[in-house]
Amino acid sequence: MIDHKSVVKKAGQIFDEVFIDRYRRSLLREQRNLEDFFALLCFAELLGLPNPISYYTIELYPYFYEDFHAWHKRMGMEHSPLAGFPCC
Amino acid sequence: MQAILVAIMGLGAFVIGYFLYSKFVAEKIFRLDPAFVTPAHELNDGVDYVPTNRFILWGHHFTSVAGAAPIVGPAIAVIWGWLPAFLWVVLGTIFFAGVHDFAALVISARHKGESIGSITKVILGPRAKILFLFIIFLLLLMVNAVFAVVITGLFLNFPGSVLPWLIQIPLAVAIGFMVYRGKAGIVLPSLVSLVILYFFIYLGVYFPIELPQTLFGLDRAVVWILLLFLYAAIASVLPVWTLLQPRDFINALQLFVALGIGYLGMLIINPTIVAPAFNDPPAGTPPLIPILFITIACGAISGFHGLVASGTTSKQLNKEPDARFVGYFGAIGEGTLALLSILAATAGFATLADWNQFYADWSGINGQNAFVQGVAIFASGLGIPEQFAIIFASVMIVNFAATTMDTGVRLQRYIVGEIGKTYNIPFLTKSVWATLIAVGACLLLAFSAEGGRGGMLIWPLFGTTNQLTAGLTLTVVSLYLKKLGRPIVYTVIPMIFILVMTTIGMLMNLGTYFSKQNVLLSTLGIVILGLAFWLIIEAIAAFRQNQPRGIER
Amino acid sequence: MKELITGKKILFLGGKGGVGKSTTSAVLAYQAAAQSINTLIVSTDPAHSTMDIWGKRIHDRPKKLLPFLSAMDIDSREEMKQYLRRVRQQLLEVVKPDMTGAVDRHLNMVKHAPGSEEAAIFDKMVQILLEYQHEYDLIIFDTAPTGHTLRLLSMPYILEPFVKNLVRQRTRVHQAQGGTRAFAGRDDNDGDRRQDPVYEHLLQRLERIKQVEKIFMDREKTAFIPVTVAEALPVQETLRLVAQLSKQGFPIGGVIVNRLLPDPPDGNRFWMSRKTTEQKWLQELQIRLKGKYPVYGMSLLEDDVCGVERVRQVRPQILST
Repeated sequence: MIDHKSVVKKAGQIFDEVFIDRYRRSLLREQRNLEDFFALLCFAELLGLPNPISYYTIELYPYFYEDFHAWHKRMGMEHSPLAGFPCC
Repeated sequence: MQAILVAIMGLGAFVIGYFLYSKFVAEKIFRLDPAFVTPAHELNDGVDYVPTNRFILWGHHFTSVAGAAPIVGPAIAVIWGWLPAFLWVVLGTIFFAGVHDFAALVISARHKGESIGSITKVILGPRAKILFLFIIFLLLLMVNAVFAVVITGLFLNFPGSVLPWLIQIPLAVAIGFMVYRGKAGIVLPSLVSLVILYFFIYLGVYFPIELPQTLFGLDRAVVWILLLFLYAAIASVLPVWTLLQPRDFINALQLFVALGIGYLGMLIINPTIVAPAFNDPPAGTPPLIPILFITIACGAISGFHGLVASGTTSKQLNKEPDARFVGYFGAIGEGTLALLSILAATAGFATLADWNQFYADWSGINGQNAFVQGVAIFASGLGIPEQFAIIFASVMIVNFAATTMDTGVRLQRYIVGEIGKTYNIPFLTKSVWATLIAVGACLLLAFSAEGGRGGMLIWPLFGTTNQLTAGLTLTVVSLYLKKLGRPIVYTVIPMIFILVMTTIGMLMNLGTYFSKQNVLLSTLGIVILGLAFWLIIEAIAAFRQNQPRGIER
Repeated sequence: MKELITGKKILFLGGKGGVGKSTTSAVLAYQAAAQSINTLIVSTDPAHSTMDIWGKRIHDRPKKLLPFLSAMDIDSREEMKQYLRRVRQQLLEVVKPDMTGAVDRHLNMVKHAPGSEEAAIFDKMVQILLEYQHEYDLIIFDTAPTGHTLRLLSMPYILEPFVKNLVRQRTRVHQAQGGTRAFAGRDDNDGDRRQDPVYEHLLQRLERIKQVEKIFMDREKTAFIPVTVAEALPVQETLRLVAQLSKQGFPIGGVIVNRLLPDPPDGNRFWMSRKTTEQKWLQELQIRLKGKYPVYGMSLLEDDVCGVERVRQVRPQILST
């Protein structure tokens, strides 16, 4: 006996993974790019760019800390731009 | 000769190639290691680096590399008869494309998923990286120009495909917005959009859209090309989720539907190949050797695949041995599409006379049209009305080509911006200017060939540049293998073969361009030839050096 | 000089270093208090001269000096310290415990980064304006020397586009998040925006900046008063300050010329010459202002202005309108 429900479910899963997953990840990439850009605007001074509001954005540090390591690597820096801030 | 027989021989050869040759290359030459931690695991970020099931990844890879080119090239190359094209597609896929795509995937996976461009810098040195950028820019230029001409050819021949193409734009944008704004899931809208698309294909049969012969004093082919580039320019500056991704997704679905319909239909109607195995081509056709090898690029070996395999697919490889299935079998998927194109362009005609009439003149071939008509005939075996099937196949190619143009202009803009940054030309870094320059260059190229109707003049340029890219990748791979002390003959022979063929082919093309006194094409030809020589010199220099630098593993 | 203090709610006094801004502020504040106008005098000058004038220690919260007069001092270092302490606490909640030292080292660097100090002063100024503008009838800011003052006053115009841009970018992030969430089968599209503390912070900043901008531009309530002395360099600088302020659209209440000389003793060539020079520069100032802004004068005193008693005795006189 073939369980029709599970076959349909499996088919849906494959459809999802083959056709939709890539689409989904492209949206995630878009989201990440926007988030990266936002972080860049906030913390431009860490990359050596002048940022007149850096004093005001340091209060946002805590919210970005978790993603900080991945961020500076994506910005092309192997190590933390915060001197003495050993996140890696 | 029955088409089914040829198909079985081709597909059978693919299967044997996969089980014997790819196994040999994967195990004996590259020694794939199931324990190797792939970048997908090492750098998993849920976006670019994601371990993916090999069947799924194959689907992604195949739908990314398959496009209009493996359809158009073979449908042109059958002018020398079906057998040379068939042999080059089958052997090329097994010994060239399969190895090339697979090797690009492996070498990238062993370099943290970096692109061939970055790996070139590591293995061949920074100078070769510039060479690489030049080749890529030219490749994109060719692709955009040649695809605009291909689409124009389809629109002029099958005006019914204009309406469905037009409707697909708002359709894709609507899906994009619905999904992006979180208003709907994806499955339902995508199915609905497919239904709407097929409905408009049906409508297209009755409402063909034809431009008047001349518009504002311009030939209608010129007008179409201008419109297509206007479209590409706009599409390329939109965020990817608005148009590119939703349409890409519809295209992927279309690809499998078309392959299924084509082969199934053929199985049912059992057509005969009307074209001769070897054809004495009409006057003006260039010689088979070497031009066959640059006419069929995608479908036999294509540098473009290396770019997809190295930049994107390699980041999702779950286990190293999966590369064999994903890379090599991905090339086989492409070969299958090319094979369908050969069969459609040789068995999709009622009589030899019809076929001869279609292929009466080298410079006037519209390969894509032969494919469209052939697939439509095959589809009739499934009870699909031929009129409908024609528009269906035509729209599929148009959409493939249009998506490629959109992506191509996008990438070109990045490269122009990169050049602007490197040489400190600020206005080039502005999106508007970069787009205008990218599109302008493509337009210039498209029009340089007989006012937009001379696709056959620039098609070889496209093939050559594509092969050069493949040659570069094979050089990098061979050097890498040399460093590991493995046999390099399996990658060096294809490399030498295509470098020799492209160089000779390009020299012959230059002769044509000179005789036509076409300054732009002659210049481009010389540039490409120069790049080819540059690459050959780089390769020789690198091989003579005992210790290529900085290779991992 | 009544019109200087009545009707206005916020006064900014600025000018070249050493022309007597703090003394002038003190005098105005005293005059206001004497008319039962509940006045707060705020010194943003790192030189802390206010303290010396009143002869009392003044801190970072209002201290009552007279029934209608309070004074406070903005200490930028102290402000930074408090701000960074808050950030530090939040950071320590998310980082690993062994990173306390690294966090402190980094925040210490921020303290010395260019722009941090004025940002801290501006921040406090915003806080004072928003917090005390209803509690007091009049707030007088005794600002630091010219360049500093201009920079401080232009802060909202520098910051606003930046913060606005951040808010816009953040909104785009939210939209993208909405798109990806839809794939996951959820439809709580606005969830993120409401719960996003980053967005909250930014909106608050923007709101405050906008309010301050409004206060700065309010011709009814706010006036900027350059203080100068009738000498070559201070007058020229004052003219530049006036030009700059009016260009940016700040309302100017008038110019106060401090330390006017008494009539010179007959026959004393030195004092006669000084007086002539003074009159020359005073005239220059009045001509150049073209009667657009009133000019007030304050006489030079025999000794220092220290303590409430001395402040009481000084009174600016109108010289021209």
